[in-house]
Amino acid sequence: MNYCIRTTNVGKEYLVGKEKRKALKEISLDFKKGEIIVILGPSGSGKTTLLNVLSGIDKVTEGTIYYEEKNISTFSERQMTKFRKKYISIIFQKYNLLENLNVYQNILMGKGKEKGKSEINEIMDLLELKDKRRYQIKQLSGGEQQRVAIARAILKKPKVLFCDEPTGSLDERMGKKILKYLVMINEKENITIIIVTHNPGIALIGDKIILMKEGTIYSEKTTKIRMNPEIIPWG
Amino acid sequence: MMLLLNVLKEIKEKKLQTIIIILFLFLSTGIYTSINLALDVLENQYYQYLKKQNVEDISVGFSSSIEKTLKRLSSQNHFDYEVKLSKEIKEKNYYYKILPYQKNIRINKPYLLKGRFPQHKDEMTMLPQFARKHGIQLGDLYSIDKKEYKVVGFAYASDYIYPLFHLALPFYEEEKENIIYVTPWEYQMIKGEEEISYSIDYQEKVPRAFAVKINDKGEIEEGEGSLKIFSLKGIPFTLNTLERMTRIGKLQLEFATNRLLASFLLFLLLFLSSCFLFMATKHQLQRERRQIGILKALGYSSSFILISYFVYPILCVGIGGILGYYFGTFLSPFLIKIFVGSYLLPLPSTFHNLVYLKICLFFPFVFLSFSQFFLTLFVIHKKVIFLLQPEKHIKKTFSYLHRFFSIFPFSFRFRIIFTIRSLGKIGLISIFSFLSSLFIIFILVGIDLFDILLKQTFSASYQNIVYFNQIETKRYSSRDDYILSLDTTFHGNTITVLGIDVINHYSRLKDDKNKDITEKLEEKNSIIINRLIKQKYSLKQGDFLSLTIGGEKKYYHIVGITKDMVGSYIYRKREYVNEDINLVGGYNQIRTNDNSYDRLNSISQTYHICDIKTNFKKEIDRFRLFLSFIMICFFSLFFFLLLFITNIIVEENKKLICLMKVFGYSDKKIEKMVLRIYIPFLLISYFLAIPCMIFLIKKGLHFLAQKMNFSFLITLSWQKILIGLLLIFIIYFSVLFLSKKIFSNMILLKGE
Amino acid sequence: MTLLYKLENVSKIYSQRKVKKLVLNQINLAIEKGKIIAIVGPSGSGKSTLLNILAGIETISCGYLYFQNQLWNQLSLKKQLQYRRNYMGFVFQNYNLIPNLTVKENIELGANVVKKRISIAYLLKEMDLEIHKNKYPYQLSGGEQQRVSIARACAKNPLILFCDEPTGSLDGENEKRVLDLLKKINQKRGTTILIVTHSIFVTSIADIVFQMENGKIGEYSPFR
Repeated sequence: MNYCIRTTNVGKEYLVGKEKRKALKEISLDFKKGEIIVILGPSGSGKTTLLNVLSGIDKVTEGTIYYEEKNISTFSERQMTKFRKKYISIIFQKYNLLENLNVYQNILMGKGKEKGKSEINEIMDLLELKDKRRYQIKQLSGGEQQRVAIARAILKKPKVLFCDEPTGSLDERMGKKILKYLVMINEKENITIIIVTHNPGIALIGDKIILMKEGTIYSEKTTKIRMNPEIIPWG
Repeated sequence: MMLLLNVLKEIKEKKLQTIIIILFLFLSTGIYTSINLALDVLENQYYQYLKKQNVEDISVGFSSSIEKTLKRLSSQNHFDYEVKLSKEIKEKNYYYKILPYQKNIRINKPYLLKGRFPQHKDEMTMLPQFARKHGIQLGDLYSIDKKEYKVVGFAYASDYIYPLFHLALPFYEEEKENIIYVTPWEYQMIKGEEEISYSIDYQEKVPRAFAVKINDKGEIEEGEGSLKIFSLKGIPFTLNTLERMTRIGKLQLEFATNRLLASFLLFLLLFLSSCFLFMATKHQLQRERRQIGILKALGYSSSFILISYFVYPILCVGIGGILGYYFGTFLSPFLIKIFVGSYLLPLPSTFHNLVYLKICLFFPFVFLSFSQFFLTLFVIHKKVIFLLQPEKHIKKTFSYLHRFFSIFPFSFRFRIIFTIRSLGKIGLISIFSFLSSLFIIFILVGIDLFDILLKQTFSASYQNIVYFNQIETKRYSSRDDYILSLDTTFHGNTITVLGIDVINHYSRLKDDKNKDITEKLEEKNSIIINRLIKQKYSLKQGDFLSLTIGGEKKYYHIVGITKDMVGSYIYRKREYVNEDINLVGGYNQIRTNDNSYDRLNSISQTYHICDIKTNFKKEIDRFRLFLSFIMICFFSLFFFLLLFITNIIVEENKKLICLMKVFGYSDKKIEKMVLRIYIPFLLISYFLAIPCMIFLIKKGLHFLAQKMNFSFLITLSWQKILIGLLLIFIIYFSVLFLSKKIFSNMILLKGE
Repeated sequence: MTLLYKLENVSKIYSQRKVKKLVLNQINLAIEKGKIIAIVGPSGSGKSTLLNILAGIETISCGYLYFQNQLWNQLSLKKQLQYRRNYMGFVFQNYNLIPNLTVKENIELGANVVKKRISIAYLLKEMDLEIHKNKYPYQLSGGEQQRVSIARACAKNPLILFCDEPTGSLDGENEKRVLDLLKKINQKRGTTILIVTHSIFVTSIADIVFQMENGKIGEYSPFR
């Protein structure tokens, strides 16, 4: 199945105090299955909001979003949750891990079942978390927590993976490593990856670069080849 | 499952809170179960006893025409009747009720505890309590009226479950009062004051609760059920219902009130524990908002997440409820012993009742889940995006307050803002402080309630009260007080009119402020009532009372209220009482310090004040035990409530306190700015609780005065008020002190 | 060149459930007054622990820590608190503003702890926050909140400003504004600024850059 996401005239409006703010205006996009899309923009440009509506954790006020034939903009909260459970994973800027469980258990939350022990080990290896398996979340540094969050998101092998500033709290070495893995997963499992960031260097690893400004799409570029994450400029 | 594990880990974190909630559940279910089980057993025993011993439903006084009427009515109306004879002997200071024993007694069958009933004329059975007090064994000899009898058995008279011989002797004295069965021909020989009545027992099922209305004239008004039959005119008889009701029915009142108490305590404690849980859950949800959002973002459904929040109450209820139930069954035999202690009822054996187990699990679960359910529901159905963002605490209206307060210095402003940021929290803290203040004030009032009662009642300077068989006029020593005492009925109850001389030695009447008001009795139609009467009938000084003294009904003016609280007494000048009954100088009571009156033949009884005091103390000891138990419960509630309040305050402000410490604020300053902001609310709640509690206690005492023959005086001196305040502050500041240790971890400030 | 801090062979060991972790390993460090110092390193290298130690919030396991040529261990707790109060300011990655207080009041919270302070109106102006004076933190963007946080830290005119990942949550433009502000504070008031970060961008304003890895520290060439 060729999972593609299509948005048509998507708009998002909300109230700040008494004013109405238009966070997104007339967004029309088309993503193909297996693409890596990077959404760039300064803070306030609406890129996080776009990610929120695309992944279904927020609802649009105008327009439609189609996942293949399914129009998720008409989904109820319950339907959206079910849909998300099956097809979507999200990595947040602030990790959002469960503080009472250890690393292993948190990663396991991503799939909900004990099956696939080898898969977990593989992922933990890759993200250098194996020796921190039993650590409590509170004992980890910021970057380590992000790695756990990523592992949790990837465990269930989603169709689409959304990343909101995934390398925001990581240093260059680790950040690039994460990007490498994301690229690898994309190539292996054909997972569509959408990354929102303000780091322009990251944009180079993608197929499509979308520049946002003040709630609209400023420009949309398709790169001819993906750059290897190791050599991208950082910062 | 992972979610379950998450919940279990949460419980590990909140150990103290969990323990408190489980403790409350344990206490509430334990108390409820123990009281109800004990009452179940007792009630079962009581009604079986009534049935087995065929205790009377009602008794009527003796008169010649009644026998014929009863015979006629009994066949018509399916009841059985039997003559009841009893003789009273007062010997030394002992009081004996002699009853004839026949094998074929149908109504009010005596209950044999040990040995056998008398068969020969020199045999007797007596109350086991009396025997125990005097070390009398089976086979011993005991003499009454210079005749010796052999004690062959110990038995109860089944219509004396509460052994009230008559109202003049309101308290059962084990070592002084005895019920004795002898053979019928021996009974004829014994000299004593005889009482004859008929006991009536319905054969079909009749409601055991008596419903008799006696109007002011002493007539029976239309009662309910079986008593209608006696409203036929032309039958002169007397009905001693009050006495007999007390003897048989007093226990019923106890059943009712104690069950009420058990339920009250159960629901109070459950309510409190669900409040705790409510607060804790609210707190928890605030912290876990993000987590819930994550779980939803990960794809977990709302109902799935909701269920995981029920694990906690189920666990608490499971542990607390079951343990409480078993604790209750363990405790109930002891309670039964305490209840039965002052009644003449054979001791029953206990049994289980699993209905209570279900109650112990059901109600706590309902109470606890209620809060969980609504709070959680409220949060869970929010959109994921809202859950992931931090909560916005500001309500727009308060921003005006910020501007209003801008003229004040920062520390003050800061405290105001922090106090008003959450009205819900202020409300909760105020309510909890109010409740805990109510409890501590109750304890402060109750703690010397009995001591004051004893002091006030027994502050007499005379040692003896001498009672005469009939009204005398001969005067003895002028150093003694002569009293004319007459009984009369008032609103269906017996009260005693005491005619005293205005000039007397020992019987000065003093009001609440200790002012001597005896002179007021000079007024022609004046009376002075005591506090109990005042409370019982809601009278006040200046009111007019209609009383029948000596057959004539008159209106009397209440000119004063004495401070004593035991017994229903109305005082009037002796001269006037004599006039009312067409006598001069009559008296039937002497109050004296002289012991020589005992030699007189016309004496019916001499009471020694110290004895009365001792017996009174015994009677109220049980009551005091009960009150102490309540006070302990209340104190624990008070303590835990305060603990909880201060815990909330500390927990809520953990992050802020940490930040301020990093900034360099000293502990003292942090305490001042953050932790002490609720002190005004504590103070206000405390001072509001004082009048409320006093009002409640007064209402309770009014109710008490109706049922019992004594009442209390409430004192709440400023010293007591200060002590209560001190206690509150000690606990408050101790908890704050203990929680200072958690403040200096910067890790709190790192992740969000 | 006066030294604000001097660390000699400082180590810090954490023990957690029988496992002992060497977080700081024989650190030798000298912090000069009036400079901007950046400490970079991967996550988990001990940067935050170092910060805690310099702020006096955590104790060292062994070695010597000198603050203004005084041995920190020998100072009474009261004195340590006093120093922290008067001389140190803190900026955190997640701002840690009090949500119930306005911008102005948040800054006042920082200022209120000492007697001698900088006028708040002046600070607001200096940091371009005057229009936000009566707003609440949730109404501001990330960059604006961080600037409030810096203003709060500077309100007591500290000798040294500790910044723990100050730009970690900010995007390029806001990051630049914050760094410019820090530079301005350093130049105008001579406040020593110690920034712990993993962003290379930050090092652009630093006079000295140290690199931390696995609890060890070493110099790094300033990146221009």
